[in-house]
Amino acid sequence: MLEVENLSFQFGKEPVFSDISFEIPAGTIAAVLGPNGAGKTTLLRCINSILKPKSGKVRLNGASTVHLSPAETARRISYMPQRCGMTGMTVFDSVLLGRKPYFTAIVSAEDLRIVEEMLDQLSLRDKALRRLDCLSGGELQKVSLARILVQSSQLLLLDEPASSLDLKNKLEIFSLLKDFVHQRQLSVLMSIHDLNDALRFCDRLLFLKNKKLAANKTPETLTADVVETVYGIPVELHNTEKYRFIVPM
Amino acid sequence: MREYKNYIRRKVIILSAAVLLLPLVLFYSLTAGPADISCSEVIRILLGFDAPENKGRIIFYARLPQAIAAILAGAGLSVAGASVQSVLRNPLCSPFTLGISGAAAFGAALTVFFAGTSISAVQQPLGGLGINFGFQLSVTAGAFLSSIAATVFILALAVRCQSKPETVILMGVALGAFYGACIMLLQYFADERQLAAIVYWSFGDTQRATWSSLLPIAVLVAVSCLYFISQCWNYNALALGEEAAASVGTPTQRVRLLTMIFASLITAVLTASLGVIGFIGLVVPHLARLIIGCDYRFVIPFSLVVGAVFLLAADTFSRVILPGRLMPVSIITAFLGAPVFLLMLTGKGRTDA
Repeated sequence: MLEVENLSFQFGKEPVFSDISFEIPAGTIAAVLGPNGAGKTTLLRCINSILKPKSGKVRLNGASTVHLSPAETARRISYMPQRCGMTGMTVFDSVLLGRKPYFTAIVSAEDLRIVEEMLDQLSLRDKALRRLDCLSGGELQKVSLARILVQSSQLLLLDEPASSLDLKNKLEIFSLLKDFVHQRQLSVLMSIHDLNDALRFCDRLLFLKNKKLAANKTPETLTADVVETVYGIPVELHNTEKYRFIVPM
Repeated sequence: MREYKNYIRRKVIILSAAVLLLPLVLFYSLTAGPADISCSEVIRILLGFDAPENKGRIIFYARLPQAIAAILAGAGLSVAGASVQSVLRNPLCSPFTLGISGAAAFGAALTVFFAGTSISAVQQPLGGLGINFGFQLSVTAGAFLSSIAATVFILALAVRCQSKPETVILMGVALGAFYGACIMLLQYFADERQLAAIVYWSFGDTQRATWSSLLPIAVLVAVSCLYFISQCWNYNALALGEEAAASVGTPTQRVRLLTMIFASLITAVLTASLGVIGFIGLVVPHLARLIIGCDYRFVIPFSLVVGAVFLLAADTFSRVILPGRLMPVSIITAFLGAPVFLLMLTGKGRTDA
């Protein structure tokens, strides 16, 4: 379970967000939403200690994450940035890096087995020895996801994890993520632009607006006026038998 | 996973082949040069059997220290280049990117300018330029002090700007230009003898190596290489980007700073004692990546071995290319390096850092 309490951050003297508090129970996927520049990525970086928050607390399963070493943090929290470096490294080695917090120099057979299984699950096995710079944007996102899943952490922070995936891959990846989260009782916080993806795949919706947490809803309790206030455009919320979806007017 | 294990095995074989190449080139290097020493004589001398005394002296006091200097300089500069290219995420970087070699050249020029004539007047001159041991030592000391000062200065600035790669590279460019101007100023006011000594010093030359000067170089290169090798996984992580590296537990700023410290120290010590040996720190890491791939677990040790072989070969070549003359190796490295580099870049290989 992730607890964020009165978290504030500023770049120089310019506050990015202030006094943000929320909780993500184990087994829950939360989406952080909001207009461009609302501070979604910054929030993820603060929780992962890549950026140092100005004030506030971040607790994971009751323990503060502030004083952890980089490797200790990596064993508890994994972060998937929006962009991944294009290098000549192979897919296998890139995913193996997710196990780095657990080994110093020598990779164990167990690490190799975990990576292999993950590549199978994400249908990446036949691309294991391909160079990263020969992959498409969508494949690269799958590799990044594989890397953070082998990290075996309790909290996943994902920055736009499906922005380059086609419809089929997006469905596959999100259902796989859901299974993982329920099986291993993980907490997930992901920044996402597509409100309909958030409504369909996430259990909780956090809206950032004007440096504050403007709303904390579930897909069931979300109303059109929350979306209208945050994005400043009129929308309609529709319900089908299984899902709700939003149409901008 | 069998394919991955085979893939790793192939790289280990390539690395081992390169390691085996080194003693062969070393042996050939000991037999090559103006003095005619045959292979069997070299073996007899190395094994301690009786051989003509003057030939033994040539091997032990000229060719062997020179060959070891080439191995150490080649290995040190190449591995430092590969590491700096990784942490600054820029394929154009080399150990000289931070402007340290310019600082060493300036320190040497300054010593020549202020002390050159007075020292050479009291010492027994050995060469036509009045280059002698005491003079050499003070120039080396001047070069070393100047490069250490530059190292401290640029690393302090790097810490101040949180060692952001682009900023550090541009600071190195600025520092290099500054020292270039300082050297030009000294050259403008120097007399002919000083000018000749300044220019002579700026040639990177392994012939200056003596057993006593090799000891500190060997220790520093060994310690630095151990550090670089220990950071292979962190370099791999950094290739994915700053944030991805941090998220798998790489202390990015610390790795970058320590890598720059070791690379700068290697550059300072090597440049101060052997002069500026350019290009090798840029070209060898690319060559290594082209042959063995982009995995730093192999790029670092392979750069080390290929750098040693490359500079040793260039050094040997410099002794045989002009009959009866010993050319400074830095001329050869650039002559050999530039076409190799251009071929590599226009050829099939992508050698991104």
